[in-house]
Amino acid sequence: MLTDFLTELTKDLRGKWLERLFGPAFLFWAGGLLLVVGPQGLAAWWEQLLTLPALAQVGWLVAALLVLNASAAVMGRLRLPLLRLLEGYWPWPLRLLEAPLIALVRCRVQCQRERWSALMQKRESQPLTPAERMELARLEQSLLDFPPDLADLRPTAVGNILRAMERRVVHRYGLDPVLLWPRLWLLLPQDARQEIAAARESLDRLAEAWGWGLCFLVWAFWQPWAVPIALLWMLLAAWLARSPARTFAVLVQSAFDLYRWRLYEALHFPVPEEKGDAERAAGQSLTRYIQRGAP
Amino acid sequence: MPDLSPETIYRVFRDLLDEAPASLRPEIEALLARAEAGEKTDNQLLRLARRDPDFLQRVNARLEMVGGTRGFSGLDAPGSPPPGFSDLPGPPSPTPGLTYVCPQCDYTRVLREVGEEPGECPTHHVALIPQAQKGR
Repeated sequence: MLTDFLTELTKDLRGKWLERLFGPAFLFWAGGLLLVVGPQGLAAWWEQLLTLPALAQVGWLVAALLVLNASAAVMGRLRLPLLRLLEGYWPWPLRLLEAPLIALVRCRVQCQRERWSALMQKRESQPLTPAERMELARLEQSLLDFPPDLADLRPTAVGNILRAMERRVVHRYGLDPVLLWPRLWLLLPQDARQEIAAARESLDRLAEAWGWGLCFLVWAFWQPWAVPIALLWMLLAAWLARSPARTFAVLVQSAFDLYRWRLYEALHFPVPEEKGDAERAAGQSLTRYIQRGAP
Repeated sequence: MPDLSPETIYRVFRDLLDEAPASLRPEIEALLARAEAGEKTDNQLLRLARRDPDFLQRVNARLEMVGGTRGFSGLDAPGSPPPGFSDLPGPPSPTPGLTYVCPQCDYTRVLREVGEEPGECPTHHVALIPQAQKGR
């Protein structure tokens, strides 16, 4: 009976259902149960379930599916706060960790910038060796992940990648991307919006997976092994989230690079004709208009 | 985002039949006739439109207009998300940076981009200035 039910249930499962059933929510519940009751306990539960009447078996499975689905839906609603946590915007007492972590990142970035500067100066006077060229390319790529001004550093990799994009738009165009993003979004072509939405969806999914890792700490009340597993889970999710964060950041920055003019036109502001300081001043004026209602 | 139904695809192709290139028209008509007979030919129609970029553009524009975004993105892997942007795997080639110098000596520092703090000269402890400003 149980096998028939499972066969019938999984026959048409696709897309989101499969993701929900075998995604991080499933790992959280299955892993937690495994830790709390142990493999033998879980096998005994299963055996006991099989001895129940068919209706009770179905009832238990439906209840399990409901819990799984409801918890996945709740976590889906928490994507934005989870992403902010992943970015390093932490509540107290975690906030106490911010300063030392940022100091470590600053030290690393300063060293990389010094080396990058030295290689660029050397390149002016003599050709770089192949190894130096590779190192320069690596540094160029790596430094993209950090905000230009070190005062804007965040304690996490994802936080720095997203902050770098936000601050670049401010430094280059005088526009505040956080404030202006909803307006620009409405002016973007359909294709651009699709690409950006897809990139954001990938990032949000990993933020959600990271959130499940955080929740996994709950099982530590019953089984201390849950702590290293949860930490490993969170580290892995945070590491994996760097790539979609880069994609999302590069697309949002590209949207400002390419379509920021539409903001000026749509708001009936004069389009800046010169780059540099003139454009930054115009961008600041437009940002102020949106934030304060006065240019 | 909602996927367009085969019926919508058939409707769009029927609407655009007169605008279709002459070389494609007989095949479109044949596929639409098969669709009317109950056969599913929406993907074949979309594939056919691919042969003529102008017509393809018109089809996609019309599909978007009627409320969906399927176009060709969902053709090759039905049910899967459309193939999206991905970065090129190679490293970017570094263009010249922003050169800052000490106003009192030859100390030089190259910045990667606008917004970076130039810092100060380690010997004279004065703020570095853009190279273009030195000697003015």
